[in-house]
Amino acid sequence: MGYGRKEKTEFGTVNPVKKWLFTTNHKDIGILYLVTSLVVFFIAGSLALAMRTQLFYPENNFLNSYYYNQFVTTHGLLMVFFFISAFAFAFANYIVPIQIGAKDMAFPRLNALSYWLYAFSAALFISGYFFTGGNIAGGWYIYQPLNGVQFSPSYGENAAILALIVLSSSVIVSTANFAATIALKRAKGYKWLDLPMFTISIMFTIMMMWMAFPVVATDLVLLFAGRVLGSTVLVSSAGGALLWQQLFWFFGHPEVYIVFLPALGMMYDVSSHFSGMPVYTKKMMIGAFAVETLLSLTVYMHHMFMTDTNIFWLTIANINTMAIGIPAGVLVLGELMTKIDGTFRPETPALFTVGGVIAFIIGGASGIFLASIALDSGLNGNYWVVGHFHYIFAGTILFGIYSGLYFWFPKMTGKMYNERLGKIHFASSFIGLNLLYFPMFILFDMPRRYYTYPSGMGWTLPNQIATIGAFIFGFSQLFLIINMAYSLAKGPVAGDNPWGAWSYEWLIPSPPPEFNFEGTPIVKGSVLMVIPPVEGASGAETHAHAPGAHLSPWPFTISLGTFLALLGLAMYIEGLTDWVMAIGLMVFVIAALGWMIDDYHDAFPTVEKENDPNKETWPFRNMDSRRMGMWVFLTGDVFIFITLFASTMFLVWQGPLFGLSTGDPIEKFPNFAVSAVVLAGSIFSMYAAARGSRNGNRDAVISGLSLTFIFALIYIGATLSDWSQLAAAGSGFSAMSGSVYLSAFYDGGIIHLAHIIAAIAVMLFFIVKAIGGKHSSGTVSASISSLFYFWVLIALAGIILTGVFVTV
Amino acid sequence: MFVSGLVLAAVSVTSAKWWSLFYLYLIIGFVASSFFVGWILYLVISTRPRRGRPNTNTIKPGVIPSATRGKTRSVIFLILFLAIVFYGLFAYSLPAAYYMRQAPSHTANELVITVYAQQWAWTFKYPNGYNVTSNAIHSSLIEFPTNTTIEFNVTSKDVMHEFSIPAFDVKVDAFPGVWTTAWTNVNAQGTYQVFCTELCGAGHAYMWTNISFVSPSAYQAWISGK
Repeated sequence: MGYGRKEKTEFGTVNPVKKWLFTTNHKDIGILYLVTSLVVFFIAGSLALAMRTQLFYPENNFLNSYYYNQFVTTHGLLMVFFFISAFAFAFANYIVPIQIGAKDMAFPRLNALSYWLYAFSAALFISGYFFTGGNIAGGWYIYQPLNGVQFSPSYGENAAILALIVLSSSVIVSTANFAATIALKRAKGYKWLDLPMFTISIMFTIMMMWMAFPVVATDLVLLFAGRVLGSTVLVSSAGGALLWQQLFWFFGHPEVYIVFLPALGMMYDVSSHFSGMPVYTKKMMIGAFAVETLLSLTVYMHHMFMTDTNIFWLTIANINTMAIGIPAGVLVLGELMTKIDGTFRPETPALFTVGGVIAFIIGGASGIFLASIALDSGLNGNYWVVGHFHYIFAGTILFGIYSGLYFWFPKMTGKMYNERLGKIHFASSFIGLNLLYFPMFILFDMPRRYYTYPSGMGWTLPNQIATIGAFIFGFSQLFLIINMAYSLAKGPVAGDNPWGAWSYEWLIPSPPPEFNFEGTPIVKGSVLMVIPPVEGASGAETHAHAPGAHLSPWPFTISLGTFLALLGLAMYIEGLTDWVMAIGLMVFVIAALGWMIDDYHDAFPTVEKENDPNKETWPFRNMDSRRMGMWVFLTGDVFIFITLFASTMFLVWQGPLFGLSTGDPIEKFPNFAVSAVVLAGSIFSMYAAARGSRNGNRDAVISGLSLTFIFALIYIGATLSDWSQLAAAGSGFSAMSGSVYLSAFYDGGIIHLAHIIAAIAVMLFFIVKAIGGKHSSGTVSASISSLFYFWVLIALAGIILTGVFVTV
Repeated sequence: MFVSGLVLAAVSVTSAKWWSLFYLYLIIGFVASSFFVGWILYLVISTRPRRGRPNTNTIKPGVIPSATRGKTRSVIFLILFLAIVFYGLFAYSLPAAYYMRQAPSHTANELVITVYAQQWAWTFKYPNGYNVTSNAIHSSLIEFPTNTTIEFNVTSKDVMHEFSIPAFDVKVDAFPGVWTTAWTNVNAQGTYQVFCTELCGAGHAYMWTNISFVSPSAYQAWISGK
């Protein structure tokens, strides 16, 4: 891509529209995340205000159930998926690379891709309101079979589910990117334990994202296949509803900690600075983060206390839930103990941490009630639950991120916020929060998600107080916007380090220059240093630092293509038009080719060099970021196949509906032997290519990749032949509605084929690259060996998954 | 309201169990929360900047703060405290969970009711085959006897619902194709409500109905006429 070479202009001369659309700079992307997530916050918050207005009077007619159910569902999904996590990751993007002493993320273009996929998925989600039947309306945990096509035929729900799939992809890309960045791009000498708490919290957060998001992506693909292709995996009475709860909450509960940990990390950094004391027993607190991360996967069944799941398993979930309460309590009280012996400076960020801790104490105590299986008989599905998790989300987590927002605002803008407006924002939010959510504990016996309620139940007064609180809480957020806008225009200059803080972001100008550090960050002992650059830096370095060199149009364009293609798909399903989808696919293919052509010419300069001796990579020796990112992505991908495998086994154990009615199993798949042999063989040809690339053997690379390509084509042919023979025998796609077995088989098959096709595209790219003589540079070799691991995964997954269906 | 527990505790055996547990949690939760909120307010107020007290600031720009600050012992004490409170409550409440979820073994004085949840009404099927369907809009008279162990066998005809009688703290999910069980034994005659507490579509808010508990003899008179 020629931008850098053609116009070596000053920063200011880059067209601002082009800059914001095509930027790959982590700080620009952080700002984009911040602004987009706040827009989502105000949309989702307005939905909540409409609902609270409806609930002000019993038997009210402000909203009918058609709108109320859409609002209650999309409020939850927007806040959980599109606001709170993105709001925290705005700071993760902006601050974490600087805190670790890096000049940018490991993969700047993937970072931009994550953002644009997120932004367009939010747009796609909101477009759901404009389809026939309205947006998704079956509750934010999308329970089955209510959200299947039979009971929720609205076309907007298709768009919403597609949007959630795109969002999950965005998070999966982010996970690999942050893992490679934090693991490999730290300043030399920066020990893990010395990192600021915010970076540490993000590190543990991505560990949970790594496991949770591939699972929810798979869940949503299964859900979509059910709605569109007629797959009955999730809607059959042979355990579909319970399977969905297992699948969803396996993601859903870690998600709570995914949004909780970053906020906690920010509160630690803020508390430490505003009381002038180091973090209280930092090692213990990092240990608590680790325990929290591990346990987060083991507690999800406490969402299923009222199901028919055996009480033994529920008791185990209950024990684990009590266990996870301990590190959570320790972390929040540790944040509080950090203040001991210090001097508490009652400024806005510090006040928000105090508010956050108080909200956590109330929200946590109410959560202990819900952890009791016996008490759930009176509380589950009622307003007590709503009060509990809003105290955590809108209290602790939102306040925690607000404390970070006020803390880093001067760094990000160079201007100081207005302290008085900040304090008003805190006070009104805190009062509003308690007026809004405390009455919900009094409403412990009122069922949630009732769009209207009868009078004479004693529910009217608490609802009215909550509604008044909602308006106070909602409108007090305007103080934040006014403060930001006013301070950006008229605020006093903040200086580099207004708080006297210690970490790297405070040692550089506010706002930081394009590549953060004018020199090389190095940590010596406990001192953070930036070594000035040597005179006469190399040409490559200058090129990488040229203004505009780090712009890339492809992340934006690929996301735009994805958006149009999926919006078009939803429109096509409704029978509106198919040209939107065609245009979207075209844009997507052109953008993907454009990205590949850039890569072919090595046209995109990365700021962070590979295997830089000035980077701390312990414990990952000789690891480069492509390999690292690919490992994270691959191990995440394993969860996709585990999800498919586990769902199939769950249905096998649950239901009598499994299995085809006639025929010897092996006869169902006449080409199974061919597929298995071809997949097994392709592992060896792919290995030959990876080995050839490492040894610089061009012929081995070309022939190995080509052979794998041919094997892959044979596999696709054999699979499609199997499918057409099944269809000829009356067991095609259309038979899925009558067979759980066929549904699970085709769902898995389609997801697997999608992997194969993606791998083929990458394979072709490297064949072209090898023919062009670029087969053995460090990054290409790393990429081809990553492709080898990817191929091993999908080949084995193909053999195992098909094997399951042949044998059950 | 929470005081309603004083009345409701006496209504049925399950709500008696529930309220004794709930009040215990409430007392411990209130005491512990007040303690921690009090602690944070004390810390914030006692360490505020004021004349005559030097401002503490051990943070220096560019210098990593000590990672060894704080007493490990205090945190271990905190862990033990939380573990004792959490697992104490867990151990105390677990027998109640088993009690409330598992109906007493079959006795002569027992009524088994089959409950069908559907969009958006409840259908109750009595042992003699009598069916009655009711919701908030089209309500029918539904009677049950007091001082009788009643077992509700619950399933759904369409989507997931949740069978909930707040007055007795009876609650269980209703799945399509799956049977779940809840039970109670009611002491006090009166009118109570059955709610659906799992979002089940457009009519979710109307999927509730009144049920009446009458004396066993009145119940016999009512049901024998059906």
